[in-house]
Amino acid sequence: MAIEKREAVSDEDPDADVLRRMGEGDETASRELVGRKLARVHALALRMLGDAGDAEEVAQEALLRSWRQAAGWKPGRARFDTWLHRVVLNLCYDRLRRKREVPFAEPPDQVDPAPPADQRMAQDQTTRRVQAALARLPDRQREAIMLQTYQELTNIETAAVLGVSVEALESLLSRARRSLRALLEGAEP
Amino acid sequence: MTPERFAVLAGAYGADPDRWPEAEREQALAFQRARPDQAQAVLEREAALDAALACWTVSGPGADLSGRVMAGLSRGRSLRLRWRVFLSGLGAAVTLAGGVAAGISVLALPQAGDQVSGALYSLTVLGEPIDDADEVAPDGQTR
Repeated sequence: MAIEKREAVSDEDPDADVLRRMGEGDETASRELVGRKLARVHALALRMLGDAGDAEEVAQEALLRSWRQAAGWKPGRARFDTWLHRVVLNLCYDRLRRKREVPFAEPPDQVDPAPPADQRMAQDQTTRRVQAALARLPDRQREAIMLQTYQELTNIETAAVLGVSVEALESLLSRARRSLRALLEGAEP
Repeated sequence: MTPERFAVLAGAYGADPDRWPEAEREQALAFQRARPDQAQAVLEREAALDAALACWTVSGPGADLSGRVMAGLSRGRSLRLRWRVFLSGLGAAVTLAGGVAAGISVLALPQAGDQVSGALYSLTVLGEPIDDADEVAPDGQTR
């Protein structure tokens, strides 16, 4: 994992310039932002929803909302990436509520291309157990794991998305990991 | 850094130092170097969970998704442009209608010699009321 991904949030929003250009109608900037964010947004939606089609629709909607926001975006208030992650989570919850689905009820349609068959089988089995364990966590704990572990946000960025202090995030993560360990080892948390 | 704080850090963020908060990373690494046995026990437990979580990988979006997103943005741009054209047309129409209404109002304003609307004329055109002493009574007498 790249260390720079883990650096604390600086005052400067790395997306500010591309957003400004996007707001001015620059199509190249739109393309740049889509290239920068699409995979991350899609990965979060896919893990939250467990359905590739739904994840693609959420990713599309989140980026469309980004474009709508671009013209009026005020740098310095919140980081764009923080806002975007919150939008994706909200869109996922809307979709889950509408469908009355349990997140991760089915494993995602796709896992990375891959290792040999026996290794793949073991990995798939662990994946299913991880998904089942994550599905049993309270929403906030699951969000903390999704953002910190899978989206590779820093502690400060994750806390900002969740709207909590860094101390509260640390507590959420500790409880989440304790529960996950207990569930994966076959004991109730 | 205390052993307790080290355990809390690893328990929250996992065994990979890259994931530890930047502000405490160096201290935690120093603790690890100073007390390797103690640190190792904590890190092994957390590394096992990290490895299990890392099994859940997802592939990237389909190759055509980027194109579909760009097409969506393009549609949005086109709709926004049409909306702006509509609004500017509406603005022009409102301005024109306002001008016509203003013209009609001016033509309909009472003239200076109109006794019945004298007070109103004085208020609207001259901006001051007629002095009561000069008001003309209906019988033509000045009060």
